[in-house]
Amino acid sequence: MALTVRRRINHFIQHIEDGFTAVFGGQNNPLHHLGALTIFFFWVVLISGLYLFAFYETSLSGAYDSLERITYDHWWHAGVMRSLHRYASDAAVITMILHLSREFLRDRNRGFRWYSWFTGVPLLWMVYIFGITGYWLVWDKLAQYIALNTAELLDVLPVFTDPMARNFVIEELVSERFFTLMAFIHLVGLPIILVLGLWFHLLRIIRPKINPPRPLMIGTFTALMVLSVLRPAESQGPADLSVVPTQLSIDWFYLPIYPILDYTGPFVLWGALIGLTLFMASLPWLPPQRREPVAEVILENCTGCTFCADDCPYGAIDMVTRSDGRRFPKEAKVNPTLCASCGICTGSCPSSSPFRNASPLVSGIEMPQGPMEKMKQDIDEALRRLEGQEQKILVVGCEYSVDVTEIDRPNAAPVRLPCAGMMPPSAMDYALRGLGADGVLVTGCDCADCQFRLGNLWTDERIQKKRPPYLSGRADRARIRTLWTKLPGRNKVLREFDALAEDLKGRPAEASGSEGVGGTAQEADDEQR
Amino acid sequence: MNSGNLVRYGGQAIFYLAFVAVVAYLSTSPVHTFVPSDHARVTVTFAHLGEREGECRPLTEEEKAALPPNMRVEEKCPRGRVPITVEIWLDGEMIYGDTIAPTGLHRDGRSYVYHAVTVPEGRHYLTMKMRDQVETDEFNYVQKKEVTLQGGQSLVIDFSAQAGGFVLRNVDLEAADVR
Ligand code: HEM
Ligand code: SF4
Ligand code: SF4
Repeated sequence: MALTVRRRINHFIQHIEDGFTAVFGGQNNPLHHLGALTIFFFWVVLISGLYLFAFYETSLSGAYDSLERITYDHWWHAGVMRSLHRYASDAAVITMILHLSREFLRDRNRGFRWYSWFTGVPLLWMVYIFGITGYWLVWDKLAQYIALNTAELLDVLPVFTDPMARNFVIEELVSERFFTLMAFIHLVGLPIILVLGLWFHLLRIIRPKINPPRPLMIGTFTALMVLSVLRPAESQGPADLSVVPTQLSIDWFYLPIYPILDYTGPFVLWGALIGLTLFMASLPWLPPQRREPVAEVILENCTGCTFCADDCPYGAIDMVTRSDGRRFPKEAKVNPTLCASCGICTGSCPSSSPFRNASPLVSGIEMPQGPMEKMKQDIDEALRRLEGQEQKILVVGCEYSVDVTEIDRPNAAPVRLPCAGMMPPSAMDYALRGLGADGVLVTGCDCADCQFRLGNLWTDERIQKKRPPYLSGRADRARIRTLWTKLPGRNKVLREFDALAEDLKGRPAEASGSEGVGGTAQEADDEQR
Repeated sequence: MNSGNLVRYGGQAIFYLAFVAVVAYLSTSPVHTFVPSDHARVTVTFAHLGEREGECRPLTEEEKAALPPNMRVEEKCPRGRVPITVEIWLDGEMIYGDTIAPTGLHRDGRSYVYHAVTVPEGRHYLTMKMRDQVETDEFNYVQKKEVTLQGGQSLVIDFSAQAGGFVLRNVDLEAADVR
C-alpha cells in the first residue's frame, strides 16, 4: 500500500523533475546532483568559515562585537563571507532534505542500499548541531534564546543533576568555558566528524558524485553571492541575560526545534526527535525489500578482464587470484551483500557476446533471473515478431524509466532489462548484423540519474568506444541511438524512435552476414583489446 | 536568442531566483515570539541542601567498639537529606509548587529547582515559601515582595540560605517592596 503511494508520488514528482531537465538538461539538472550540491555548499561554508575565523573573537565578551565589526566595518569582504557562510549552510539543508526525500521516493533506501540510507541519518544530527552551535557563537539575543532553550532541553535528560538553564538566566553565572566548548564543537569537532560521517556515507558508492557539474557550481555560487551582497546576514542585538528575548528572527532551516519546544515542551520534543530518528533509521526495512538474486560468476567464461569490476556501480565485484588453474591471473568474485542486481556487469562482460557460438549462451557473469541466453532469445523473439515489416527497430528499455513494451509502433521490437547498462554493445551489434534489425534505440533513466547510478553513462561510453567493452567497429554506429529520459518521457521516446525510423529509411538493413559471428569467450575478449 | 534558449536561460534564472528567495526568506522569517513583548519571564531557580533526614544520636558502646579505633566517633548522623517544598505565588495564584527530592545515590545532594513562567508586565505581588525541615508542616521561609515588571524583563527568584532566604535578581530592588 505505502509502496504504491510512494510510486504514485514518485511518478508525479518526475513530471516536475522533467521540467528541470527541459531547463537545465539532464546532465546539469540540479535534482540529479543533490548530494554533490550539499557537499559543494559545505565547501563554501568551510572556506568562508575559515576566513571569518581570522576576524572572530572566541569569547563571550568579544564575540558579538567582533561580528559587528565583520558585518559593518568590513562588510565588503568579511561581511560578505559571513553572509555566504550563513546562506550556504541554509542551502545545504535544502539540498540535503531534497536529497533524502528523493532517494526515498525512488525507493533507493531499501535492500542493499540500507547502508547509504542508514549512514545518512547521523549526518542529519551532525548538520543540525553544526548549525545550532554556529548560531550560538554570535552571542546575540538569538544565541541567548538558543542557549537557554538548549539548556532547558538537555536538563530533562537524566544525565545532569544541576540545571544548566540556570546559567543562562543569571549574567554572573554564564560560563566562558561552556562558550569555548561550543566554539570548539563548531570550529573543530563537527568539521572532522562530518567529514568522517560523509566518508562512511559514501563508502559503498563507487565514483560518488562529489562535485556537481560546473554550471551548477557557478550558478548556485553566484546566486548565493548576490544574496549575500543584497541582504547581509546580521545579528539581533547583544545577549543580555537580564532581559528575555521577545521577538526573534529564526533561521527555520536550522532552528525549527526551538519554537516547537516553546509550544510543546521538552518531553514531547525529545519524543519526536528520537521517534523520528528511529523511524528514519528503520525505513530501509519498512517493508524489507524482496531480495533479487545477485550476480553470479561463471568461471569457465571469465577471463579476468576486470571490465565488470570497473563498471559495477556499487563496488560489488572484486578481482581475486584465479582459483581454477587457468592461465589468467585473476577472476571476478561477487560480494552478494553489496550487489544491486542491476546486471550492469553482464553488460560489461566480453563473454556476453551473442555472436559466440555457445548454446546456451553463458556469460562470465550472469544474473540468474535474466541470463544472457534469455536476453538473446528475447531479442530474437522480439525481432522475429516483426517478420514481414519493412523496418525493424530494436528498442531496449529499463525498468525504471519509460516502459518500452508500451511503445505502439508496428516496427518496434521492445526488450526490457533491469538496467540499460545490462545490454552489452555486442548484443546491439548482434541485433543489427546478426538478426538484420535496421536500428537500435536504447532508452533508460535520465542523464546523470540512473537508478543504478551509472548504467546509462556506461552504455553511452561503450557505444562511443570510450569504455570497454567497445561497440564493434563493424557495427554501423549511425543505426544506434540512446535516449535518457524520465518515467513520463514516453513521448520523447516515440519522437526519438520516429526520428531514427525516418533516418533509417533508404538505408537497407545489413544482411545477417556470417563475419564476426561465432567464436569463443576468448575471441570475444580479444576483440576488445 | 531563439525561443529554446530563452526558455532555458529564463528558466534557470527563475530557478536560481526562487532558490535564493527561499533561502533569504526562511533564514529569518517568519518571526517567532518567545515571550510577548508586554510580558516578562519569571524563573525560579536555585540549589538548596535540605536538612538532615533525622537527628544525630550518640553511638552505643557496642557500636563504638565495632568501629576501628582510629575512626571512633561519638555520634551517628543519617546521611540523607529531606526533600524541600517550594511554593511561589503571584497575585494570589500559585505559579510554582513542588517538592523536590535531594539528588545523589544516597539522597545526600542538593535539591535543584528550575521553573519558568511568562507573566504580563506590570505590578505584581509575590509570595515565596520554602520548607527544608523534617519536623514542621509550616514553611520555614516565607517572603512577600512587590515587583514591577517591564515587558521582556527576566526576573529570577533565587535562594540563598546565607542571604537569609529568597533573592530576587534582575529587578530594581528599590521597587521590590518587602511587605
Ligand atoms: C550531509 C548531508 C549529505 C550529503 C552531503 C550526502 C551526499 C551524498 C552523495 C554525494 C551520494 C552519492 C550519490 C551518487 O553519486 O550517486 C549520496 C548517496 C545517498 N544518500 Fe546521501 N548525503 C547526505 C545526507 C543523506 C541523508 C540524510 C540520507 C538519508 C537519510 C541520505 C541518503 C542517501 C542514499 C540512500 C544514497 C544512495 C543512493 C544510491 O545508492 O544510489 N543522504 N549522498
Ligand atoms: S549486478 Fe550490478 S551491483 Fe551486482 S555485481 Fe553486477 S554490476 Fe555490481
Ligand atoms: S567482465 Fe566477464 S570476463 Fe571480465 S572479469 Fe568480469 S566476469 Fe570475468
